[in-house]
Amino acid sequence: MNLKERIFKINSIYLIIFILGVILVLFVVLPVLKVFVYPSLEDYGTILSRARSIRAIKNSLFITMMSTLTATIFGFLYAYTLEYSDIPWKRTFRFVPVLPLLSPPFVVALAWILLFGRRGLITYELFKLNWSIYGWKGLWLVQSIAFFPYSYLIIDSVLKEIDPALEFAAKNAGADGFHVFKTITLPLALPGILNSAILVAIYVLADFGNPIVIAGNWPVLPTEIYGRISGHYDLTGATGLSAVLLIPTFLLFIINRKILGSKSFVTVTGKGSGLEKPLVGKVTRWILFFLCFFIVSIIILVYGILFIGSFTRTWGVDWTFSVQHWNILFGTKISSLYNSIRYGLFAGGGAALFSVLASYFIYGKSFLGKKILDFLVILPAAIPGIFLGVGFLLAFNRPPLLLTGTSFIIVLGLMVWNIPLGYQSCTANLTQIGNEIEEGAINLGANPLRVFKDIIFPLLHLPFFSGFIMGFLRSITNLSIVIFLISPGKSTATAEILSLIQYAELGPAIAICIALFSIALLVIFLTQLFLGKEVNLFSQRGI
Amino acid sequence: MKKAFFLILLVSLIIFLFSFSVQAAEKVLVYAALDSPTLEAIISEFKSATGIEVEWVSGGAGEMAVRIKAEKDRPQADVFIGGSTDVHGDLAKEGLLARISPENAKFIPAQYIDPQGQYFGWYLGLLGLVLNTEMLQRELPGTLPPKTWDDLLAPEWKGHIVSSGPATSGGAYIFIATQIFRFAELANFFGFEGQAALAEGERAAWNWFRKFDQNVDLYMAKATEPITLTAQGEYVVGMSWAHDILVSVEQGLPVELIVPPYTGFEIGSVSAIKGGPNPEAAVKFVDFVISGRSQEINATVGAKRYPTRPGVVSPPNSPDIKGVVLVKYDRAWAIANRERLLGVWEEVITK
Repeated sequence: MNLKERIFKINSIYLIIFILGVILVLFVVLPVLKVFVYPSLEDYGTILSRARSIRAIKNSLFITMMSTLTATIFGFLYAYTLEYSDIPWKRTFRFVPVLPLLSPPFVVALAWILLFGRRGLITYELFKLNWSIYGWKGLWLVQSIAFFPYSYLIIDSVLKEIDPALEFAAKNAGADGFHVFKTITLPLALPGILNSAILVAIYVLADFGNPIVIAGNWPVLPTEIYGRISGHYDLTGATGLSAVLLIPTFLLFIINRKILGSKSFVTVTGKGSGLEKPLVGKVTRWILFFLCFFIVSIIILVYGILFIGSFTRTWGVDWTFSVQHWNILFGTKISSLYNSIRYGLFAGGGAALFSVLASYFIYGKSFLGKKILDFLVILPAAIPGIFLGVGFLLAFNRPPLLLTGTSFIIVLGLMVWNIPLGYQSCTANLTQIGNEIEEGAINLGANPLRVFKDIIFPLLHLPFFSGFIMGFLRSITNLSIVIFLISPGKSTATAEILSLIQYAELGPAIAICIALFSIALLVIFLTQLFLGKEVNLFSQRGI
Repeated sequence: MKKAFFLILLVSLIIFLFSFSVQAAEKVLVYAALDSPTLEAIISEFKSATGIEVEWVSGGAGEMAVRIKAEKDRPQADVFIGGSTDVHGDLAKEGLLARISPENAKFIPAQYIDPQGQYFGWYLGLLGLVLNTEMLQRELPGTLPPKTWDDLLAPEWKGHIVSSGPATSGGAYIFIATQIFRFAELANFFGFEGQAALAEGERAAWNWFRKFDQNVDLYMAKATEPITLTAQGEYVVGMSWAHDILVSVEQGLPVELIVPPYTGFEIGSVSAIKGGPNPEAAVKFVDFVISGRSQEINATVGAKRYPTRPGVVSPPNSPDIKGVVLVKYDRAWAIANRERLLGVWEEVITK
């Protein structure tokens, strides 16, 4: 092609990269900086000198370690059971762990108390135990169940990709089941296990909805940040502690990137051996089955009681059937639900589109500053939601970037938060798409936009869809980001839930929770129906 | 297929860019820290009376205050309703509230209104106890319901009390200050005056809290949570706001409200935010909120709170305000010593 065409081609690539870069700097870097510099150095000193802050930091690190450990163990055993044994009811077992992923905060913890509290229906009425769920031990249990699904889904996709040929080869060479497990399966799965553990740790660190209800006076950083706001109306303290929370989250994030990267690390070839997995022995099979059954029962009880609760007159006390809470929901609260769906669709779509563009133009190209932009795209995954929300509020409250009070800022915040997930999927897929196709198009004279539109985008349509839908699901259940960005007339369902719980109006709060839940399940069901085996929503290999 | 894709995306993008709603009617934007039945009733009457549209965001008082602080360069809302004078006073101190003179202010006793007209007290909330009468029978047969704060120190209550923590709950802090002021008043009887009385009061209060802590099983994050748990039967008695406790009583739950003598209270306020988008509508809304009609709604709908304007009905089913003994609450001292007292609480409390 002639010089003019070459310049156009290069310029338009750089233009798009530049636009993406500007978006990232404005909407990722700026809010983060705004939060960091809100407290003065002296303020940071005050915040860190409070005994309670120090306790919160220690407790956060402690419970993160504990809950991550058990959640990962549960996740691994659960995934192993599903892939390496032929227990009954597999389809139920595959489905149920999805439920905790779709939960808005708080409400689930209340269900736990009703069932497993001091006078809980199960612990006290049924088993006559005198066990207290409150404090760190109860929190440990609740978080383990709440976050093990992340672990299970990642490890499951990793285990699926281990070529059974290796395991069978070992068996044929004389190794018994346990030895195969120890020397083949476990080492191959280990990077995936570590990856999932880091992801779970990041979630546990930022978990707010569970400790606020269950932990009592045992502070962790997210509850302490909330306490600064709610009990002390102290924005300085809240931003300072958010900055503190960012540090371990960020470290985990860096470890994940450096040690594990985003490459596929499982086995050898993309061409399977066509073999089924070797199965465990009978005894092991039943032990694993009961473990999974135990976990599934707890989850079904917790969500079941919530569902029932939305139709009872007074939560936990008056079980007479009533639709009054649903009447309230369809009355004044319906606009918030509508907003949640609307914002979720746009945030999910925007995030998916951005990830596809970014994966091709940033990840797929070489240019000065590529590493920085590549890092910035994934950075939001390391930022706790509350930090991002406050950052957006502080950064965009005056001209020239006046966005507060609009729906746009909510959508933008949720979108930025969801980009890393889609980006990871797209880049993973992109590395599998050979360069030849792209080069062929370029040789035939296509400009970069044409290449993107006709070649790349269609090839990435699966990660686009899974990114869209995951983005939607995560957005409608998010509270930490939206709580600071909602404005009169532009509230979300999750903000309504918080407000209702504030004034002990549990019935309507639970009804909203179930409504969100049902919408999420419907979306997943439709996705599976229409896109079936192709789009596996949850096989994310990392953040 | 691909073309359809792009078309859909493009159309969605356009719709999304137009998701900024444009409105022309007169309206007022409110940050509210009230339960929804009360709030919606007041708003609905305001709308019928004035024709002004109201849009609001609801949440805790602390959250609303923090938003107002974060938005100081360009306030998003016109009015902040609900939350105690402590919260509004803090915002006033930072210069975030407008100075206004609504008509109805003259009917409210001066002690409830900011002398500079930045916030107006329109309801009183009392601290009280919620007692689950069924659980009392089951778990502590023969024990009488507590009548005073000191009754809660009796050994039979060990493990049966739920309260809230001051780090996250404004009400819990008011509770600490209440005990200090209660003992300070007692100290007056023994000849202590002024600062000395407060020092004695504080010493005695922390002793009281050490014993109280022995009996408390759990401190929750928010002031209203003890009510939920007590009503559910997790605990026999909880400490919380009387108006919120009454909501549970009226729902027919097996609980009753006890207001011990020398109890603490909050003065619920409303204020106009300085620099809000609709200043005139803001004044009208504040004026309505502090009116007799609005205070009557607050006393009879949702979580029922005592009015500050004389002559307005008191919440039914609630103790007669004349019979309630309130502590002499020194607001200024409570605010000034807050940080320090919270630090002491951290050290004294073990649970």
